[in-house]
Amino acid sequence: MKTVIRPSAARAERELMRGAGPAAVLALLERRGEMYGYELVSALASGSSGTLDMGQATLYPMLYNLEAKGLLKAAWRETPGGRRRKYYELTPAGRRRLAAHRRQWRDVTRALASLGVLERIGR
Amino acid sequence: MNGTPDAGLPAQASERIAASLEAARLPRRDREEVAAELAAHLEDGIASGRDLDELLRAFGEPARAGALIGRSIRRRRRARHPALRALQAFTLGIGIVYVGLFARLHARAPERTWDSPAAAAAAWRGSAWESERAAFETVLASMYTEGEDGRLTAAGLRAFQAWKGKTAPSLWSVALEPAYFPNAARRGEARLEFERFLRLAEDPGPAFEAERDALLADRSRALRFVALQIPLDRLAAARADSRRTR
Repeated sequence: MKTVIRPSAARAERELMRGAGPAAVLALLERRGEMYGYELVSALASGSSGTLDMGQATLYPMLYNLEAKGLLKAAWRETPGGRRRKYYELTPAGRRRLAAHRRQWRDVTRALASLGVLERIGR
Repeated sequence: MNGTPDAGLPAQASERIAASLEAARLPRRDREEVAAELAAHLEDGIASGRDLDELLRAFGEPARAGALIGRSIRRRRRARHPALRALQAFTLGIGIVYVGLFARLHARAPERTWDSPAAAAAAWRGSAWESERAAFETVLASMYTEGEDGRLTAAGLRAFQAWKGKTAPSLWSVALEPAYFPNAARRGEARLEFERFLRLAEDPGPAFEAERDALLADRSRALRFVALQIPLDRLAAARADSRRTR
């Protein structure tokens, strides 16, 4: 059964963000390999139609926390223009955590769909 | 970068970063790293054509941003340095034990009437630790003399001193003293007080008896003597010996 969450125009509630934010960051890094802070913010906002639009006060503490848990590693690198940026990438532990997130979110969305909270598609 | 934002940023942006870092209360090295990253973020935003006011709005309140960043960086530092984390946990554990001991010794002192060792022991029962109570009873018993109405005597005190056989503080008393005497000056005063009492005991007379009665009437003074002078391990051993020989 395939389910989708309809994007909301409003920002997600803080608790939702706390759960979804790290999963989204891990997923983006898995897809793109490595990303820097501003790139992550932009990708999160555009990829979620604004639902996961977050400021620096949310993003960087989240990245540092993920780093503390050993799920990300970071390295400073110089751009061709001579500017320095800090790039983040997944660690093996981060990949395992992302797989766990995926299972949890799949269970949650299935449950919500069963309860009629989410619209079902492809039935 | 010395912990202040990049000079190439608009002043408003630099001020916002500086205010956030101020609230984060980080060591210089972490501060420099975070400053560089936040500055790079705003530079990227400006370079991509976003309005500065919009970027600063997205930045969030400096106090909140700083608090969140500070907390997460400290967590990351602890994760990077497990020894530091262990040391912090150990220090916290010691602190909790010490505060508990301090509260126990000061806030839960028993009510008592010390007319005899038995009365003193009864007063401590139920409100003191077993080891503390045993030590105190043993001290009192060694200082009182049978047949003299349970009064403290110079002979009893000298007998206790002879039995104790040393004046250097025990390991236990070293650990316990600060809890009784958070103020080092008061600890010194108590030592002097005890030494004076011992000198008086060398020549028993009205001065000694007056001092003795004052000591017994004042719970806190008597407790100082216990804290300063009892080697608990020897007391426990002596107590066990006396039980075996009974």
